[in-house]
This record gives sequence, C-alpha cells and structure tokens, in this order.
Amino acid sequence: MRAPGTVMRLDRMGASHQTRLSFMRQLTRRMQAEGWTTERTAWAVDGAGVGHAVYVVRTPRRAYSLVAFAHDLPPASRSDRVIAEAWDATFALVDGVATARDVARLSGDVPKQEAGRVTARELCLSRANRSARLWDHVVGRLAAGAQPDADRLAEVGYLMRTTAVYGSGKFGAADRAAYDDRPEMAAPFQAEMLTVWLIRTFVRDLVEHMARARSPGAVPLDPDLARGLGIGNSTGLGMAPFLMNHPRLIHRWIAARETALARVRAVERATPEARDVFAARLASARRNAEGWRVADPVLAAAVAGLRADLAAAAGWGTDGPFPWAALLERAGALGLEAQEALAALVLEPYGDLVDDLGPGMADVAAPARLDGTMTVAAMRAAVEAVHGAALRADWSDPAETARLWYVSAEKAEPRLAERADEPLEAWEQPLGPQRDAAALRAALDGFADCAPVAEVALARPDLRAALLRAQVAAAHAYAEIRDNTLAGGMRPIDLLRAKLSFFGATRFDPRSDRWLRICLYAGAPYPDEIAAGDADAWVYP
Amino acid sequence: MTDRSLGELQALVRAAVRGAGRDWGTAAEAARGARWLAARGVDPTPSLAALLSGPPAGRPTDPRAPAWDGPLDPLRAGLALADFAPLRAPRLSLRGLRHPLLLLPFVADAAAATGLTLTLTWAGATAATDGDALSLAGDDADEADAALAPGGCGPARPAAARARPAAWDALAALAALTHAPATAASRRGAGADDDPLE
Repeated sequence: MRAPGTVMRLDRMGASHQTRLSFMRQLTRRMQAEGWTTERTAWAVDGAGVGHAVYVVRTPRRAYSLVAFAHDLPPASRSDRVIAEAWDATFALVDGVATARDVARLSGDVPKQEAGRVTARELCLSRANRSARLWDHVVGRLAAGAQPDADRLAEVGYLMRTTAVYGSGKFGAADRAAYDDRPEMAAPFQAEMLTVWLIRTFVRDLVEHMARARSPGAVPLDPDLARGLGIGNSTGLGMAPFLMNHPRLIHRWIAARETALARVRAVERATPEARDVFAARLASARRNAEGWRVADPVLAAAVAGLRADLAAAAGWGTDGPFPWAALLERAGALGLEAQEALAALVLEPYGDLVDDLGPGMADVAAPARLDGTMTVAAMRAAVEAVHGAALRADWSDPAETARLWYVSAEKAEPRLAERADEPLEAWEQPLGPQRDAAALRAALDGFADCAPVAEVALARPDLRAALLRAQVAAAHAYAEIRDNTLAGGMRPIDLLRAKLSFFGATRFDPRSDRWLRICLYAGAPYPDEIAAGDADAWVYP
Repeated sequence: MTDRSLGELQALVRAAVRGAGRDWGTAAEAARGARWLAARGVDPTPSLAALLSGPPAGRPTDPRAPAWDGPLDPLRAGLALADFAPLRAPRLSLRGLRHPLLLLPFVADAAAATGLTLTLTWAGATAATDGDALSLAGDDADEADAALAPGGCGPARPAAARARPAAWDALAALAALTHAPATAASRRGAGADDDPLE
C-alpha cells in the first residue's frame, strides 16, 4: 500500500478522483442489486412553481421519502452562502413513508433550514438553488416543444445545485448512530447520497412542470439529456474542518482505497475483459478531461497536463505480468491528476476484488480515548513517526502559522483568516494538528522517558488533544494530513476535493482557493432506469 | 424543553466548555462524556451549566494516592481518573467533588480500562458502571465527598436515542463565546460568492 507520507499530502489530496468505492456508486449498485423502487406519491406544485412533492423509495426492508418544497425565490435573494435565508427548493429525507401529516409538519421548518428544526424522523435536511443560466433556457425550449441545447447543458452540467446537505443529527435530525446498523446505511453518507439522488429526480420533474405551466404543448426533457445532468453543489469552508476533525474515519476511507489498489496491483495477469473495461473507462476519462472546464488557473494547468498524460497512458500496454502494478509504477512520472485518475481507473474492472471494502469505510468503533499508560518515550516515537521533519520547522516563523481557522457568529460558519490581518486568536479553532504536534514534541522533552503520558496530560491539559491524536495516528496510518494546514498559501479546496471525491463528485470547478462547484450524479440512472440501466459505471459515459 | 440529537448536544457541550475557558482537549472529552450520559437518559446540562459558571476547582495533586483533596473539578478529576486507572488501585476517596454526576463518564472509562465494574457513591446517591451500562439512583450535588470502589450493580438505564437538555440555553450562551463576531471583511471570501448569472 502507498505510504501515508505520499498519500496524505494536500497537493495529492487535491487531485483526488472518484473511484468505484465512492459513496454514490455504492448506493446505486445497491439500489440495482436489491431492486429498490421509487414512486412519486404527491405532486402539489402550482403554475408559479410553488408547492411540494413526495418521493417514496422502497428497499427490501424499509422505505425512505424525500419531501420537497418548491419556492418562488426572487432572483436577487438567491445566494449559495451558508448565511442565505431563502432558496429555490428545500428538502427533508424522512425515515419511512412520508404522509400528508409529515408534509404539513415539515412545511413550517424545512423552508427555514438552519433557522428551523427537524425531528428524529428526518435523516437529512437540504436546499438547492437554480442555475439561473440554464433553468430559463431549458424551460423555454421545452415549453416551445423543443429540446435544450446540448452544449449549454454540458457547459453547466446541472439545473439546480445544493448548497448544503445536513445529516448526522444536525438541526434535530436523527443521529447516524440511530440507523447505522441498517445494511443500506452501513457505508458512509448513504442517507445524504440518497437525498441528492432524489433531489435530481425532483428537479427534472419540476423543470418539465414549469415548461407545461408555460405552454400545454411542452415536451419532456430527452432522457439522454436528462441523464447527463447532475445536481451541482457549492462547497466552501464549512466542509474543510471535517478532514481534520475525524481522523479515524478519514483513515478508513483512504485505507479502503489503498487496500483496493494493493489488491489490483497484485493481479498477475489481466483477462481480456478486464483490459477492455480499463480501456473503455480510460477513453471515457479522456473525454471527460476534454470537457472539464475550469477557471482556476492552477487547476486549469493541471487539467491540461491530465489530458496529455492520459493520452500517453492510453498507449501503454496492459498485457504483461502484473500489468496494473507496472502501469501505476510508470504513472509515477506523470502529474498528480493523472496518477490519481489512473489509480481510480485500474480499480474499475475489479469490482469482485474491491467492492467488499465499501461498507467498512464507516467508523463504528467507540470514540477514542487516551491510553494514559503509554510512555513518554513511546509517545515521542509516535509523534516523530507521523510528522518527522515537520516537527523541526521554525514554528515561530509567521509564515508557518499565517492562517487562522475560526467560526463566525453568522450561522456558525467556519472561516479562514490571515492571522496577521485580523485579531482573531481568541477564537481560533484547533485545526492546526501539525503545529500542535510540534508543540507536543517539544514539551515531551520536559518529562522522563518512562513516565506515563497520563502525567503529561495532568500537568499540561492543553496537550491532551495532541496526545490523543498521536495515539490515533499511531494506530491508523492514514489518519493525519502530512502538511501544515495553517501555512500561508495552503488551499482549502484540496481538503474539500479529497472528501468530495469520496462522495463521488466530478467536474471539480474551484472558484477561489476556498470554495468550488462540483457535480453529483451526472450520468446516473433515474428511478425508472435503475433496474435495467448502468448502476455502476454511469460516471464514465 | 426541545428534543435534541445526541450529536447536537455533543457539539454544543464542546463549544460551551471551550467558551468557558477550558482547553479544546478537555472540551472534547467533556462533550464525549455528556453524550455518554445523555445516551443513557441522564441530562448532564444543568450540572454542566452550574459547573462552568461556578467557582473554579482543582485537579488531584497525586493521582496515584487513595484520596484526592478538593475542591475537585469533575472534568479535571475525571480525566485524571480515566488516564491513571490502569496505574493505580481502583479505590478512591474524592473530597469536595463538584457535580459528581459529571465524573460518571470517566468512571466508565476507568471501568473499561481495568475490566472492573466501578461504583461511585455520594450524598445519598449511587452509580455503577462496567464501562458501557450505567445504573444511577439519586441526584447530582453541587459538591460532595464521593467514594469510588470496585464492584456494584443495579438495573442498567435503558439506551436513549435523543437528549432532553434542560440547560441548553445557558450552554449555548457559553458556546457563542467561541464564535467570532462577523465583520464585513470576514464575510468576504469565506464561501461561495454569488453570481447572478449563475
């Protein structure tokens, strides 16, 4: 398996690509394998696009429902910011079959989002805004009896984008622990992924409805065009702390992917079928790369490199011994985007070898707590093993702590400041684990080698968090990011892309160094296509 | 009072304990402990609110000693108890322990670390835990002499999926102290800029 020091670097994390272990694809494979059905049980949207709808998903064991509210949002009020107060559409995922009573109950709170509350009967809370560019075009064309322009659809990729998908107990929703023993919820974020998949179906229904409201001669959206559309998402700093606040969980995601890679590297000979699958996926990845538009100059340069690198890799043979190990070895000379793209592609023919790693990506163990019996000497070795030379950086140099993470009083939104520019030290969040590890390492010199770290924690409660992190990192190879998250010039989007790639996101489109647009489920089957369509490789059209 | 998820309670307690001036590691442990209690149907919020707004108390000076002198802060004493559990005898006398209820999650940690069932008694109350199950009879006290001993049993409290925190608002006020006031400068560039053409 690849070393943590290689894999847990921000630049490589920022070049992550979705794989067959992504949470979206785990969900769609399960839907098909288990024969999930989706039925729209309520449609009460008026000609102005205001009202509600209910979609009920039935699995072999239970049902889940999306309750969707459509609103008449003045364009001037449309905002993707966490601090927005109104949206084009708001949603809740209900644990069971949603009734009219559920809809009435939720109609008061769901449209308020963070200003309201949901109950333990709700698993997720979300909201979405229209792509103004595309929405009017599509409604207009469909109303005129024609299809929208395929190039325009491809350019944007979505009709609506979510700006948050809340689960795991937020705003009163059910804790994950309340449902994580259900097989269909075992893998991470399945409730959230189901919510977004259902939102995509609602959006298609809504845009067709609005076209019919405009003209009785309106036509439905061509199924191929509809399938190419995903749900967009704007992701900002709100997601960044997750990568640092859940080290054991992040380890499980990365370890699953790296284990999958190791299994495929160990394949001695590739069958013709496997080689064909790889070639087809690579060709699709090259087409995706051609169409991948980014304004961010750093990523634009990387994508240009990706196109060239994948073109080169397309000419490499896969018929030798240990073909995938050889290919990945050779890929080490390519750019990071291509390395990570090829790491994803070699997994594609081998669902039988690697898909079983999916459900284990969740973290179900009891919360970690400090082992006070570990000796100072062992702790010193553990910290050194994880951070090494970074411990001896000049942490008094302002460049090393140029950034400061804090939470704003406005909707508790995480933000990133330049430490020198704003007096925010009093509110600094503990999101600099490398700095904290360096402080711990220095402090350990003041304790006897054989002393238990319980004594360090007693004398220096401020070091407790770093002590625990070091123990978690010692037992979980991929738990820690091996870069300084406080350094000037650090790009928070590297953290965001790492997590979003595990969701299964594509079309990464950074708009600054701290927020990006992505697309979810582009190419995925709709409910009426799940049974017979491609529920696995849809991300490679 | 409003029903809350366990995750909301845990997040609030972490921020409240930090807002009250403790370090982040202690805040995280207090939050984990609060969730542990709430998941067993015990509301820790009134005790926490009282602790965090009350006079400061201390930590044990000799964690291996059979008796600890107070006034003892239950978070500091609890963390020392849990950290040192495998390194000391299980019997412990805690004099002047503030809010003994808040020691219980750390008694559970000590029980799990040593494989013992442990009983904590104070001012007419008794609690026992094997690390997972909790039995509890009696109420919290502002301050009491408490005794920890191996053994004990009692009917285990049933699991609770939700929290019913009576002192939510008091903790929320402390948690708000961890939030920086928004300024126009800080609002810029934090997240998605709004493009009307989008």
